[in-house]
Amino acid sequence: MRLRCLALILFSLSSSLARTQPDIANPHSEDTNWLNQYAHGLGEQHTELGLEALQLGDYAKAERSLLDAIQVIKVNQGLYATDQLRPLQYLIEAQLTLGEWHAAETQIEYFQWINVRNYRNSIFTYLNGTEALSGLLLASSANVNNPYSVRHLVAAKNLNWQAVNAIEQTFGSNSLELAPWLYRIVLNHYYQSTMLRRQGLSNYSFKSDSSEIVSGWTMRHNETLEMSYRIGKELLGRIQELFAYHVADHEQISNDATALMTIYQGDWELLFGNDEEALEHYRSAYQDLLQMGRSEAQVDRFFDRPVSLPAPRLQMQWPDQLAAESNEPLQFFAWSPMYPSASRPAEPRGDALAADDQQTALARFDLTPAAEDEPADTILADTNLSLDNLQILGTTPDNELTREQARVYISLLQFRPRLVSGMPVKLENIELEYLFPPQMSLLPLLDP
Amino acid sequence: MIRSVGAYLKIRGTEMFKAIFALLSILLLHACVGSPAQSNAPRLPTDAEVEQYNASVPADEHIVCRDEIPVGTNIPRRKCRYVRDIQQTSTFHREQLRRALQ
Repeated sequence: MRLRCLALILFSLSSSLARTQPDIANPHSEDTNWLNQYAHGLGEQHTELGLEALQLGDYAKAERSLLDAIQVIKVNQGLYATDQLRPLQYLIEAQLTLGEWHAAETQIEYFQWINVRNYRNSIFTYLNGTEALSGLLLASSANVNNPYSVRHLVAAKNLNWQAVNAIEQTFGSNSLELAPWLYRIVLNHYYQSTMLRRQGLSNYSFKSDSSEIVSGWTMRHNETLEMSYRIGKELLGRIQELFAYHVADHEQISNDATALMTIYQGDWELLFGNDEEALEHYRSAYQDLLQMGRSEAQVDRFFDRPVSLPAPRLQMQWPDQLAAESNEPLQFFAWSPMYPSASRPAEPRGDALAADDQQTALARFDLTPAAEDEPADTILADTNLSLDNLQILGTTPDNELTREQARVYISLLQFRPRLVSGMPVKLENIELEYLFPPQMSLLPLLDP
Repeated sequence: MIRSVGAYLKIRGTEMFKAIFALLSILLLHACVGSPAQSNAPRLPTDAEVEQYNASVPADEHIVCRDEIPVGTNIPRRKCRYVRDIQQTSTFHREQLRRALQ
């Protein structure tokens, strides 16, 4: 009996060996893939497959492919291989979208661990990695399902600060490289203050920065908001000083940049309800631009259309082409219900939001309302810059809930006013096409 | 003549007293509101500098700066402390209170 069993095992082993023999002889056969599953080029191949799945919205498939890609690269190039960063970035994106928070945290730590090593080799590679990770964390903080949204927002901000530290140590504290990073931190503080206003968070960083909550120290809600305001103001001032330094000494940047920064400072005051200070900055910027040689018509045209605030990117140069006068409605791409007054910082990936699902609203309102007897285009010396007389002209889908959501969320928007000769002008009947954020249906209505 | 000189000196004395009083008041006010940069006290970090520092150190080495109003004055002063020190002080005070209440 035993002998018969042994013979059977030997027979089955020999037959399976005989089956695999021709495949070994032909390594290019399809059946031999298992033998080469760590082949060098497969890392790239898996990454492309993962990216394709990510763009199609198949996040689970993307996750599998990207994990394979990372494994192949690790086997071929070692644990520290920087080639892992690209698939890792996509993997973190897929996991955050799938809501796999713990898995994503592990990959985020791994990404940072590799990226910090980059700092020794090439600061630009390090900065690229930091920008990618900070962007992912910021996007994740805007996800309404994310229980760690505050933590991710703080982590994104801290990464930006770490980049600032690295630039200061490598290029010095007057490097122009600092400007976009400092502006990102300013925006982080705006998002933070939006979150604070909505959710009433206090003791902000210590609730969110580490897993352990520090007791015995709290900061009042208003104190935290004021701190965000002060930090934003200080950093915008610092960017302006940087620009002034480079205009004066190195001529790497045009004269207009410092005046543009004064406009950003006005925007910041406006976002925090300091209308008087905002107008003062706008007037000052207007005068500076004229002194720098811009014609009044050019500057008026720059301030022609109201701009939604905060501006998602830092403009360091005077625009080559100013927007032509248009009667088309303004467009506002809302980013997330978590930050209801902020426009989206980047284009969404692939078809993450199908056009059929896009909720939209067409609204009409007035800006800079003056005394009732004053006609439109009246120049106002001292005015309230808020949005007024809001009417919802239509929504897609057309129902009462969408109209109410549009009314609430559009009323939260803030705009840089139109200026004529450096003074705000009353604007009536502004039309705005509001494109709702993708996760709108997941959040209850806010109190206006 | 002597009387008029005396009256003149009295008037001048009152004026001088007023001037000295005004000068002292200005000096006193200046001392109260003078910025730390003008005094010998070291300049404390701004909110942005604190945040930049905190972003690069572990959580227990974070510092917190805020305006505090010390007992005996209404003039706020900026104080910076390590979070771990705030934590220790807080624990110490809780212990003291617990002992006092026992």
